Amino acid sequence: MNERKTKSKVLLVMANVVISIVLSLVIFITFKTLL
Amino acid sequence: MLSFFTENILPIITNIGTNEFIVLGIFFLAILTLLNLLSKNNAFKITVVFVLYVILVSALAILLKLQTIEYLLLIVSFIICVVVMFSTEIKRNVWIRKNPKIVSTDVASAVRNTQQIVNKNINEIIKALQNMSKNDVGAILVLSNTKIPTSIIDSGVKIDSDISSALIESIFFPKTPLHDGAIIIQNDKIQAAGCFLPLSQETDLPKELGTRHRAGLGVTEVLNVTAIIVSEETGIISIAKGGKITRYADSEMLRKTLKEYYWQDLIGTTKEGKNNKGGLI
Repeated sequence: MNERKTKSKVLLVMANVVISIVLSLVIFITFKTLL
Repeated sequence: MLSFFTENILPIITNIGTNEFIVLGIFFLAILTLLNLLSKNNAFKITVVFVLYVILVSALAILLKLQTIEYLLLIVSFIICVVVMFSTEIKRNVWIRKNPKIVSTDVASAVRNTQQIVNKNINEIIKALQNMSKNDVGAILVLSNTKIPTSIIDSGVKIDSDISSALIESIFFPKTPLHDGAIIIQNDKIQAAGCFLPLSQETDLPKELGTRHRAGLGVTEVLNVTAIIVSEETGIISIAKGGKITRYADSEMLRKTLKEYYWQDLIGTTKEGKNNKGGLI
């Protein structure tokens, strides 16, 4: 049970990191294109 | 589409220098903080809407050749909306938990409980809760190791008494003047009774949870405290902590919560407590 909880927490953090990288790149590229 | 990518976007990616890398890092940290905050509060829908919104607005900004300030306004306005929607959660997650100074040192340093006294307090509280649960007497207890705002203490009656099941049961006995408020327990004392607590504005609460549960949940949303609630209708005991409520608490769960309060939350906040912790349990 605890192992599953830890696994899902790690997955959640990894998903957040990936989404953050994608979104920061999207915002950065948009800014650079618009400027 | 491909030519647009190779002509406009690819040069930007390939020409990322140190300055751009720092800016990217700042963007990354800001978005990661926001996403962590959202995921901690189970705001999955808002997270999806945020991701789609940023991608859609960015695509539109490039296609419609918006001005930078317009694009910036669109992104910032959405982030402000999220911050306003989750202001209570931000206060709880960022301010109360990350700031150890908020833990009252005078309360913490006053902790000189022996294992015997703590066990007696835990037993008295559990006995009172179980008796009230058996007799369908509504009750709400707030276990606090932080300074409770004076507005809450002043809304009730200061007691400053030792913890006893008879006293707790008497306070919550129906039709007595103090039965409709909360008891504030700090350390080994009942500080006040009949206190009014801030109500939770949560909309997803089950219908069977009334104002008492809402108050118990509300106080844990804004303060680093634990609330124990006994339902007047069903006698079910619930535990609220960090803006989350657990129902159907049995004596084991209550004992665990109270032990956590006395040994981790309370004594663990003082250096002396940390040293004593291993020996006392």
